[in-house]
This record gives sequence, structure tokens and C-alpha cells, in this order.
Amino acid sequence: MTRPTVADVAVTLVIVAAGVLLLAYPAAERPRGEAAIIKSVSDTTRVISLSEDRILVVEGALGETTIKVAGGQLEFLSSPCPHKVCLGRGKIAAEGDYIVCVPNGVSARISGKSAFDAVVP
Amino acid sequence: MDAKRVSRIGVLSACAVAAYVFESFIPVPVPWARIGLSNIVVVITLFGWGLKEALLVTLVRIVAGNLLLGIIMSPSFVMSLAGGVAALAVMGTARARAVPPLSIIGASVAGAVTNNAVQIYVFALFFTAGGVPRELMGAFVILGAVVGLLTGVLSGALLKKVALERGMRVE
Repeated sequence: MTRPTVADVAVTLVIVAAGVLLLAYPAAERPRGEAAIIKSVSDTTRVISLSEDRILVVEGALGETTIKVAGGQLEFLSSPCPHKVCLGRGKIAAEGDYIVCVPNGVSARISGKSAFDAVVP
Repeated sequence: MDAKRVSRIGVLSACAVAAYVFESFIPVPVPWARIGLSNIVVVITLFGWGLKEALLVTLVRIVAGNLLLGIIMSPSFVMSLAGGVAALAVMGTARARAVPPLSIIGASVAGAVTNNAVQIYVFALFFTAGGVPRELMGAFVILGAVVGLLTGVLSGALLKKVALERGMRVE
């Protein structure tokens, strides 16, 4: 087995520390959102209210993703992706929360800015 | 490019693609996280045969792997392409400039973390209205460090074995 050098360990520790800092910064109490922005690489962007229950079909890169809004919560019901990670995400309701189906290029984000997000320049 | 080189790249790429497809089905707590098994092949290629070889293996792995998984025309393809190329750039630089203090393990850590960070960044560009999700980035950075460490140790051991058998010179 190759042994890690001192430099290896130092670099790894610095990286882990950076990761821990990013994780540990306390997230503020986030309010429930009122609307959701639904984006897709193959469909028009929609803004929907979360106060009305509905089922939405969105066209994506691989096929259709079905989104359900009920009781102020949003979840993905079905999607044509291989691993269904988006379906396992569950229900979201707080401002700034999002569900994404990366293979299909479809995302749903509860509107309102989440506190302490880093800004993409 | 001679036949020997072509076939070597072919075999290495095939190993990388097999590892990539295999690991995509391993359930992981964090979405889209990969254990980075295919990175072992890239790192070994980089340290055993050089940057050009490693680049070819990386590109073939990403294109063929995504083609096989049926997600080539999708954002995750762009994410893995950006991540893979960036990671290789970082590892190549580490190898050229920092390897006497660092070893293949350090390079592997740097590569894995870069791959993850770039993927998250590209994901943010595509999907969030201008914010990089901090917790996700933190989790992936730590995951990258841990995975990079493990794959680095494995790569080092495998490379030594390959070099021994084939009489190759290894840094």
C-alpha cells in the first residue's frame, strides 16, 4: 500500500475543514414558500402557486416529469430518469428548497431566497 | 498514434466505463454522489502513462458511460464532463508541480474534490436562480476528500503492481 505523505494529509485536512465550515454554518429558520418556479430545459418556465392543489406535467430532455402540489407541499411523482433520485427527495415546502431531476433537466424551486446561500458570480 | 497505444487506451477506457456504470447503481445517501471508482483508472493512467492518455480515457469514459446509462442528452452529461475535465486539469497540475511533496494520493483527493465541486457549480448554473446550495457543496467537498483518499491509496497500490509486472517507470 502506498503511504500518504505529510503533504497529502495536510491537503486532505484543509479540504475537509472547508467542507465542514460550509456544512456547519447555521441555516436560518426558513418560512414556508408560497409559489414554486418550475424550470425545464425543454419547456417554458412556469411559476405556480402552492396554495392550489394540482398535478403538473413538464416536458424534459428525456421525457415527462410529473409534479404534484398538495397541502402546500411539492413533490415529483414520476420521471424518466434511470435512478429516480428526484422521486426519493420527498416533499418540499420551505422557501429556497428545490427538487431537481438532473437527467431530465427539470427543476422545481420554492420561491424566496434561502438565507446564507453563496452567490454564483 | 500506434496500435499499441490505441489498444491500451481502449482497455483502460473500458475499465473506466465499466467502473462508472457499475458504481452509478450503488445506493448513496447523497443524490448523484459517485464513489469515484472510475477515477481510479484515470489516476492510474495519469501517473503511469501521462496526461494525454488520461485525458482520452476521461473523455471516452464520460461519453461512453453516459451513452450506456441513456443520459447523454442531459444536464448530468454536461456536469460530469465539466467535472471530469476540471478534475484531470487539477490532477495533472498537481502531478507536474506538486508531486514531490504530494503523492498520487494527494492528487487523487484534489481531483475528486474538484470533480464534485465543479459538478455542483454547473448544477447551480443550470438550476438555481444564482445560488450554490451551501450544504450540498459542503457535503460533496467532504465526500470528495474521503473518496479521493481511498481511491488514491487503491490507485497507488494498483499502479505499483502494474509497474512491477510490466517493468514501467513510475513517479
